Amino acid sequence: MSPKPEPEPSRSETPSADFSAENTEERLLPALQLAFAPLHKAAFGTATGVAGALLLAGLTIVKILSPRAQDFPLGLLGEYFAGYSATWGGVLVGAVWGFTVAFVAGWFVAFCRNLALAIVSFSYRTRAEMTQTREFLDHI
Amino acid sequence: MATSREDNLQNTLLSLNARAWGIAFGLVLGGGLFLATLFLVIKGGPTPGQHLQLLGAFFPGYQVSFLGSLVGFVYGFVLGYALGRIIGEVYNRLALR
Repeated sequence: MSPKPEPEPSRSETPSADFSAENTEERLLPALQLAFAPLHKAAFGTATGVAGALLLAGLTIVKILSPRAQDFPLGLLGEYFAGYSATWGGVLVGAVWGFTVAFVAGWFVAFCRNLALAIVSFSYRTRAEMTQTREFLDHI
Repeated sequence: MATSREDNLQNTLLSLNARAWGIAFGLVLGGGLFLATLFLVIKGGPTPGQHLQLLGAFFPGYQVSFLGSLVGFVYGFVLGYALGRIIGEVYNRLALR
């Protein structure tokens, strides 16, 4: 016994309303939000700052506690980070410096990323408007 | 209507996938240490990687050799994953409140 073939949906049953401009926009909006959503600069800076502070504090603690790490010249960071040394006091100073430097770096990365995205978005919009204008002029 | 949609687009903040950020950071850090070590091994010389091998103080088992480059990749990946994960989690908590 051969299986019954599925009846083809008639053209009137197809959801033609789904292809309207309104629905297309509604379907595309989440994707557009994902594609062009900016980064929150302060939040990203803080996040990288926390990671930087934990990294520098962790490295300093390992340097203090581990006998293997005694030869590692971590104290040279004091040349750049005023007040930093591979001591318990340096853990706190290193955390503050790590947060500060990583915050600035993260903020700048987010700024550059948002700027690049804005430029790309502007170029897409301008190109689309130019295309529309060209078609309009063709009909005059 | 279009203006409110545009505002909606402008004000929507990107949420980060913390796991993806962890993997990305891990691959960059692990791959970077792997390549740096391998470069010094291939370059050779009387004392190859005399500075890079100091990382062995923090990464037990790491040394400037072919095997050490693999060990370095693992350490770098683990450290990078942790950092990327922290960045993703903290960012999402702060930005998407």
